[in-house]
Amino acid sequence: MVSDIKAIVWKEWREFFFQQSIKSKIQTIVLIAVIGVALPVNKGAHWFDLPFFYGVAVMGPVLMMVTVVCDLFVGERERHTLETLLASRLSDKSIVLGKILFAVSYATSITALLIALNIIALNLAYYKSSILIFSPRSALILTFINFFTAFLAALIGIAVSIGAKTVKQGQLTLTVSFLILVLLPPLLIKNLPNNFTHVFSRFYNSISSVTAFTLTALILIVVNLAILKFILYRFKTMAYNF
Amino acid sequence: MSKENSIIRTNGLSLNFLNVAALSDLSINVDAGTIFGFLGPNGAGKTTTIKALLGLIKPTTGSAFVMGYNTQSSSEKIRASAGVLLEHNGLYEMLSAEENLEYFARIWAIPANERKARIKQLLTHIGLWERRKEKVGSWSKGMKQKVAIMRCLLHRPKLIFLDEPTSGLDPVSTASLRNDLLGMVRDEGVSIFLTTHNLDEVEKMCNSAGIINKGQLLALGTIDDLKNAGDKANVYRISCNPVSPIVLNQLQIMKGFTIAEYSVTDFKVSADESISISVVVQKMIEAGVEIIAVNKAERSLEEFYLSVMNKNYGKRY
Repeated sequence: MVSDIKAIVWKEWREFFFQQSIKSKIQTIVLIAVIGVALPVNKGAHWFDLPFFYGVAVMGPVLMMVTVVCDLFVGERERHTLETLLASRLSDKSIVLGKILFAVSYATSITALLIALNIIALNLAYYKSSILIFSPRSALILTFINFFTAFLAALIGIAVSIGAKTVKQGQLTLTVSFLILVLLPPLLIKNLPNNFTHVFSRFYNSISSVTAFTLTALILIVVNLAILKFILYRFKTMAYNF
Repeated sequence: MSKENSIIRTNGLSLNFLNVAALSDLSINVDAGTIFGFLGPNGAGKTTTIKALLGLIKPTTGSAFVMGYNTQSSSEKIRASAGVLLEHNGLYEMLSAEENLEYFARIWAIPANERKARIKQLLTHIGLWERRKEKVGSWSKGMKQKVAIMRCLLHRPKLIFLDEPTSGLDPVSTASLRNDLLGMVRDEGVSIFLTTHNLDEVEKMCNSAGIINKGQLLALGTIDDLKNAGDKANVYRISCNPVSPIVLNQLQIMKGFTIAEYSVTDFKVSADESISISVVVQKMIEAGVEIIAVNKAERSLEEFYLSVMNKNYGKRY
């Protein structure tokens, strides 16, 4: 199964590099240049201490993933390549997991590239006596948040891609879904009853950061597994209607 | 077609899509090491049969065994041992021919050291090795089809499903593919399940064939059996003096027989089962044809196919 997943990831990266038009390649480079270089230089030497940095480093690649992830199933169906894949020896699980892994590797690669550019740009602009970089603890948190957010976004993207009729329809649905996911939680939290937020914050203050971290990780793992199960079920019922 | 030597065996396979019967009580046997042609018009159920045999769709009733594996419980094993070319070539147009084959070689878990050699062997065979780095999207339909066929041979399968493989190929490529497939059957004992509209192709290549329409199997047997079946005795070649177009038009609308082939002085006539040739000859004389000779003729597969369609659906094809 591992070699099957590797084969799919290999093909997806290969196709990703060749499929993009020059226009979308330029758009990607400009976006990476803005987030990777212009934004941190503009915000100053304390860029890595700003919560905004975490938001950008995690959500930027996830939003960039929208255009790529949607093509993974509905695109293959549109181009009539999915049926050949289904008729091969690959299992449903390998196909789905291979596509998910590609989407996650895409988002994490972009994050790694952005952070590398951030470090280079900040040090070129503001270096004095020590290298400007985030703490190991921040790196750990960032890695964790990045991986699980990318995984969650990939799962949602693939769930949409399996059900979408066309790539364009899928991309539209996914963009709207992500915007709701990003904008809705702060709105909800803001409008929760006072006593609920009070109880909630008291609970989080009472537990150690390790417990909070573990709890969050567990919740994310459960949510991810539930969506993965849903995708595998949906894949069986929808992808075979070719 | 013996059951012991069957590479494909279906027992009363039926499949309903939203109360429409895509397959009805399909029972076929295909011997190992042979080429089986599956004939039928568009939407007859040929591709659906392939998908059911690969275990990609589950039958409503009945069962099917491919290479000894049950299509419902061991479909992954079937797909692991079979090569498949479906209706669409399934090539990734933004990738090169070499990359397309490389991807499927990886999927078939061909060891890295053998992969390159096998791809080179296959692409050289179809004369495209020198162009291996080109994106297949810019290629002609025939070239793409050749690469797609090579893709399904990558892992040296025991059984190959080919859905309209020669569609889009020029006559030279078609002949070359036909020789390749016959060579594989002869030298490597490969079995082939072939769907096509090309009756000539089936007659030249296949050991046995089935005719399907609207999900129902209308005929099944070896090519010779099919050609000799039913009203074979009623196929005659009639030589005559030149016939005018008016008389020809009259003959074509007459009931009781079909004109399979004709020239100004020669007819190949297939009479309906209930009508003797003397009645046909009499009708032709009455129409003004001056007959010189009447001889029994061999029926082609195409004539048999058309007669089956005419008999079952009451249309003149």
